[in-house]
Amino acid sequence: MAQSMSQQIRVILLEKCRHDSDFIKGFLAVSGSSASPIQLKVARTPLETASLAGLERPDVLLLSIASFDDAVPDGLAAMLAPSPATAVVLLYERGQRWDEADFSLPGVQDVLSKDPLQLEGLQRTLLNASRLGRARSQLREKKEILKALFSASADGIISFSPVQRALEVNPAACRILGASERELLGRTAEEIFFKSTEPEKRGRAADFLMQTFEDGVRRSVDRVCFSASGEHSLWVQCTLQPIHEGARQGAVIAVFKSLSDAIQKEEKLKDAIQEQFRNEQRLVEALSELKKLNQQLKETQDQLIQAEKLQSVGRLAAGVAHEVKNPLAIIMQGAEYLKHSLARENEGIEGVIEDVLDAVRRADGVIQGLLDFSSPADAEMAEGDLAEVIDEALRLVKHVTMAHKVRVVKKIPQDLKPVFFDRNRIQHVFVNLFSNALYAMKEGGELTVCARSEAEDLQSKPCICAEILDTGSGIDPELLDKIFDPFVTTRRGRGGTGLGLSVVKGIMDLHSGHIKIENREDCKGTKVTLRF
Amino acid sequence: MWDDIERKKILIVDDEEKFLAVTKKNLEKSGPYEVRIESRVSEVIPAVKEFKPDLIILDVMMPDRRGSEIAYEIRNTDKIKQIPILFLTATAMKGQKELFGGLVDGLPFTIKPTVSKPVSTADLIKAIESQLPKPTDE
Ligand SMILES: Nc1ncnc2c1ncn2[C@@H]1O[C@H](COP(=O)(O)OP(=O)(O)O)[C@@H](O)[C@H]1O
Ligand SMILES: [Mg+2]
Repeated sequence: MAQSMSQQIRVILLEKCRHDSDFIKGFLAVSGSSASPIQLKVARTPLETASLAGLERPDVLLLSIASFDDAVPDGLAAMLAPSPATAVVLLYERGQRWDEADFSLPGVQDVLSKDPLQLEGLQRTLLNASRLGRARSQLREKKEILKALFSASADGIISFSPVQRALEVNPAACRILGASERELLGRTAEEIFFKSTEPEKRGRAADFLMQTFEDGVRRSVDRVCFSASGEHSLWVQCTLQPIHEGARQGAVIAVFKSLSDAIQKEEKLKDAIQEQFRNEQRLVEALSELKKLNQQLKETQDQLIQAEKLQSVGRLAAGVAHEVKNPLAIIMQGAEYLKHSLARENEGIEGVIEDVLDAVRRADGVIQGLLDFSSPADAEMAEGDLAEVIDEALRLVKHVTMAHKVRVVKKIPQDLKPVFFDRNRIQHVFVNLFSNALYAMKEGGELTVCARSEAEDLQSKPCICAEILDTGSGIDPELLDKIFDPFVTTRRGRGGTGLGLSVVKGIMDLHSGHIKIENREDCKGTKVTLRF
Repeated sequence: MWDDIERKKILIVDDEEKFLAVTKKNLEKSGPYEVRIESRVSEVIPAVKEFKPDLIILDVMMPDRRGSEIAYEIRNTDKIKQIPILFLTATAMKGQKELFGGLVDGLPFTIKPTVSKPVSTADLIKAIESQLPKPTDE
């Protein structure tokens, strides 16, 4: 019974003309007496047809066009409303013309003419129509299932046209991506998935996936980073399924699901850890910076202590000077007295006394140099003889010159023009430069001092140029750049303060003079050039 | 050796008695000078008043009373205030104002000229001669 039911074709015939309906009925009944699967019900009006259709759920509506009261499409719609999948076959009256438009009416499977109505044709048409109708209803059902699946799916689904534009978007996709359907439709896959993905997270998985649009090969990745509104990134599992496998640049469906919260959290943690790492690095940098500052501070402190030391040296020098110079004064006066009183009587005593006086002067020279060095004095500018100052300076360093067995060569012309300078300070300059040269020539050598007048520049503004050359160790080129900075010394702890050249520079600046220090080209050693 | 009339009177004030003694001998032997010496600070003004020197040589760094203060007193005492003073120093640092240049302890005069110890007799005489009033043409 169930089997016969399934094979039966239920047909409702709309035919206001009794003659015609009887004819068709008879026609079908004869043919279907035992074997015919066709069950026919007849309605006279479209209204009747619609209500019957509601009751019977027919497979086929066989409708004589002449039986419609009003426009065919309206009536048809009412009849199909209860069972939209029903197949429709239209019957034309004798002499009625075909209308192409009728074929495109909903449900219409076929059009037959009553003139002549062929039994076999009608039977076949009804069979085909019912089969088609069933297939269609199945399709519709499948479509609906798909549609339900599509919208109920927890996975995001987006279908893309061959040019990669989003055609359909399901609610899950909207939810996962945090965008409305309207925002997504018509956009490309690249735009939707990766637009705001941070470049360093886009990764190879993204490129891999996108290839599907080119070659039509299905691809699936377990973890890829998508853009999501409001969040930096979103980790998803994603499959790109071409509609026609292997079709190049065909339509593609993307199915993706957000990875579990745990994974999202893990990724966030990773980010956080990286951030932490960066912070730590920053901290390390800051720390090393701090260390450097500390070091600088310590150096400054050392320098201050040095300066402080120097000040106390100054105070000490003043005190010592007082205590030493007074006895020296007595010795000098005493020696002179002896010279007057004894010289005539004792052969050779004058020479001894001269030696004593010389020693007194030398001792005084050292003390005086120390005082000058440690005293901040105002400039006392006057015209003077540079040669004299150089001689005085040489005298002050004579003991070192002798101790280091250094030969002194002076090349100073007699007619050197006078220089406008602070005599004591310039003497100080030469003493410092000589001491440096001498300390560089511990094992002996030659100290050359030259002076000459020369034209300073093209306007031939005349100037006096002095050069001090030694055959000592020379200066490390790296040191040369900062040689005038205070506290730069290679003799720290061995009598060096690193102040010598800074004082020299200061004094030359005070005189609007110029100083240049370089290594000699002709031999090992240093050359200092001064211009006044 | 030197004619009494030509001799200039010089008072040397210093706390180093040995220096005074030998310097007096050297000066008197080397030039037309009559030298009187004084090492006691309190005796300086009376000595100046009594001796009426042509020139005073004053050590600036004497104990208990600084030479500069004595100089101030001299400069503010009638009849002796015009006497030239030559300052002796054992710590001559050019321009060191606290001690020598400009106002000393608020004293409104300059301590100049100065002669730095130790000094040879020849240099001392040079300095003395430069300070003594020049004989006017009459
Ligand atoms: N004539 C020179 N020959 C070799 N090195 C020199 C010479 N003059 C200066 N220097 C170098 O420059 C450094 C700085 O000199 P200076 O400022 O006078 O300080 P100090 O002599 O106290 O070290 C010296 O330590 C030395 O290394
Ligand atoms: Mg030096």
